[in-house]
Amino acid sequence: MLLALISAVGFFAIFLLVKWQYFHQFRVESHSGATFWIVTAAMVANTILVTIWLMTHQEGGKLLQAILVSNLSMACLFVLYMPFYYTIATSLSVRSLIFIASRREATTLSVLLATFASEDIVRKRMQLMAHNRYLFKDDEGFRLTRRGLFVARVFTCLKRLWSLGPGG
Amino acid sequence: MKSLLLAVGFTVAYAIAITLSFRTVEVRERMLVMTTIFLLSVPLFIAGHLLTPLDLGFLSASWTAEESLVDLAFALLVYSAGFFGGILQLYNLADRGFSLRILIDIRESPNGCLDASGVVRSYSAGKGIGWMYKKRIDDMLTRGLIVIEKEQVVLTPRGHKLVGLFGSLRAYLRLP
Repeated sequence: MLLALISAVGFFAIFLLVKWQYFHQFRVESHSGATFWIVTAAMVANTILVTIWLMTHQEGGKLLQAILVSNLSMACLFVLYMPFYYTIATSLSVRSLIFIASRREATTLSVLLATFASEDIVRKRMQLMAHNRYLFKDDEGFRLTRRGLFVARVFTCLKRLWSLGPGG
Repeated sequence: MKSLLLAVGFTVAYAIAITLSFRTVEVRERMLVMTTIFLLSVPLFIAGHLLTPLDLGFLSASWTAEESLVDLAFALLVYSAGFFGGILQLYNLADRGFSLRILIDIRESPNGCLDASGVVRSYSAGKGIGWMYKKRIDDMLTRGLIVIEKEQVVLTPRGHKLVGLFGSLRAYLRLP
């Protein structure tokens, strides 16, 4: 079990190194796609290492448990890491702070509103959502795809369940 | 397997507790309340792990961990992921998600279709996109990242530190 955990931490560290180095070296089109493939490769390598180790140390009886624990640990580390990554990549607040720091002239609220609460920002986000197949465009505007409708329904239910306001 | 069962059990119990509290009490700082309840539950979780047998009385030998502390570490990892990466993220998305709100606004629009200007006007059930951004500004003010002096938005030392960290990470990842 200890080996399964150590292996998971090790391969997760390798995943981080490879992903960050890959994103640094190349201009990546689909961040989520690249992340998915790199983490999948790391999990496969992790499974192979744990299997080989247990088979060569006559601990085959615990094989299923070790593989489950190891890959679940990697999945947990991934789930903990991704919100941090999305904060770096997409947070409007983070981008606003960087924008304020990068300006030589004074930044007023109206400048921020014109930059980050603009139709252009919304259009770009909708195009990204269409690229990720949550929306599709027709003559009138954007409509929900099946995937988009499913997500909207699930979260509308969750909002009702938790008595949240419209939010956003 | 005990670790997994315990983590799943505690996560479900936590989800039920938070749902009941959101439905019965007016909670203002929801994220703070959620995190506090989670942190308070961790000692209970550890006690629950230490006070129960490794096989829980019914697990077979091949599904029972031999090292109790390693099993506890794994259990805490699963429980933390269930909270920070699961329930808390669901809440964040449901209450603050920009893209998610766009999806819901399009779904709730009369003909199920909106363009960018329509979203700007109708965002968050008619509050508008300006409301969303002012909420972000209020958050940054509350967290001490910016101050407004003579109508100008200025970074605090804390804001500068955050820009240094996130700016360099974004630059390393070559994010636009």
